[in-house]
Amino acid sequence: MTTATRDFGLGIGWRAEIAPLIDCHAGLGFVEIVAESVDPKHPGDALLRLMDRGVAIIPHGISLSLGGAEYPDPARLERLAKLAERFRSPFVSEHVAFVRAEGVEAGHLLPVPRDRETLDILVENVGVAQKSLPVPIALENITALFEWPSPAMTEGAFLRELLDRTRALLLLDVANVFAAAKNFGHDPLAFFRSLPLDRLAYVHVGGGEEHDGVYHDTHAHAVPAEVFALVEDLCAMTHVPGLMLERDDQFPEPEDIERELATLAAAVAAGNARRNGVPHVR
Amino acid sequence: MSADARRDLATRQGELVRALVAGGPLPSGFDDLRTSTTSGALLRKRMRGVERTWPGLARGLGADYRVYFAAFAQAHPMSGEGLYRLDGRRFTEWLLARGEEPSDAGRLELFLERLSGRFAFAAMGFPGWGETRFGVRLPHIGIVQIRIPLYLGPNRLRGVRLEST
Repeated sequence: MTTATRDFGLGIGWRAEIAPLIDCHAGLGFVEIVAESVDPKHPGDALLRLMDRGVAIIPHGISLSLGGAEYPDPARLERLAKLAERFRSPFVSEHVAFVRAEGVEAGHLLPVPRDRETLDILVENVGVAQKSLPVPIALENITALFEWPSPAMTEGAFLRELLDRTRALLLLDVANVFAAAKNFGHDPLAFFRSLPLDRLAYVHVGGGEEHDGVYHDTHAHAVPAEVFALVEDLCAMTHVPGLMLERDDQFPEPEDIERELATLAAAVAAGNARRNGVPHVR
Repeated sequence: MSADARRDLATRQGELVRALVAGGPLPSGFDDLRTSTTSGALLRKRMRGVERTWPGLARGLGADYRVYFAAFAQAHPMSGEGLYRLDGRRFTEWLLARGEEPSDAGRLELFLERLSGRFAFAAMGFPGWGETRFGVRLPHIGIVQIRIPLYLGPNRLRGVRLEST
């Protein structure tokens, strides 16, 4: 199977709170920056140093609202474009989600109704974004605690058609797949198989916690063992060009982050060995 | 793509968002429990975002922060740019308008936020610290502050509240 992009290895979501750790970590192939929090004109020394070191920097938007009823905002698109140019990024990424409607901000990514009308609007919005971006865009699956009533398509079919029609890349969040499996009983491996994995750009891995029987994808807690197991299964299924850890709050000790990165690397190695038919001792 | 389809989606998404963050009625067909769990998660995320952006304000309110913020949030859903900065500013001004006194650390955050505009001027009294600050933001120079060791309340400062933001 051919892959959509070159290999990036392991990465992490760049946050000011863990900038020293990232700065000192020689093994990282890429970092992802939140587009809304980095000024393309004044990106800061820490990120420029990483760029000089050859670490790929991927701008990740969280407020474009591609799944919203409005056309994507030109100012937000311009910021993404400027960041991609500043950092010579291989691509940028955003979500299959909406974050605002009729002037009210939700403050988080919300799922779109999975029907034909919404899919057509999403395809059109992604097309508008692609026209103003200097690099390809990767689209990410989100997680939610609820679903829109009577969806016309499965999430896998919806994503596949969106990616087929826009030729966008895939950013696969494995923790979100785990959350959907936990909260809705979806089959994670069937979901992986339903996706166009040949368009996979990179993978997100984040932590969460369970509250009253509901799994919350918080990015503020440890990554559950089941998520690492899904990473291994995914790597056994296909070549994954890059995988990164997402931590946004309640930052643990640097050793804990190092340990999660090492666990992630081990899961990738185990999955790759399974795919290549090599016996692998963990 | 027809404009009708976009209008229809805007209406459906608008109803849902208002139900989730502004106490609006839940559109039919949605799971009551799952959407109210989502509302709680959205409120906690917003509360935490403002707390991280306005730490002095939140610390000064202690346990009351959550109570006040929850009351503020439902009546004032987020809108516009710079979400948590602006949200914290509106929250602090809401507290002041209700006669609740933010801590001096919270006042300082509001004072600096009011000075974040390009040609901003602000004045703020700090009762606990027993001082008053006047600040102006000048192009190419940044914020210039004058402190006087005397607390002036809002009534005394009314004439100098000229901030342009």
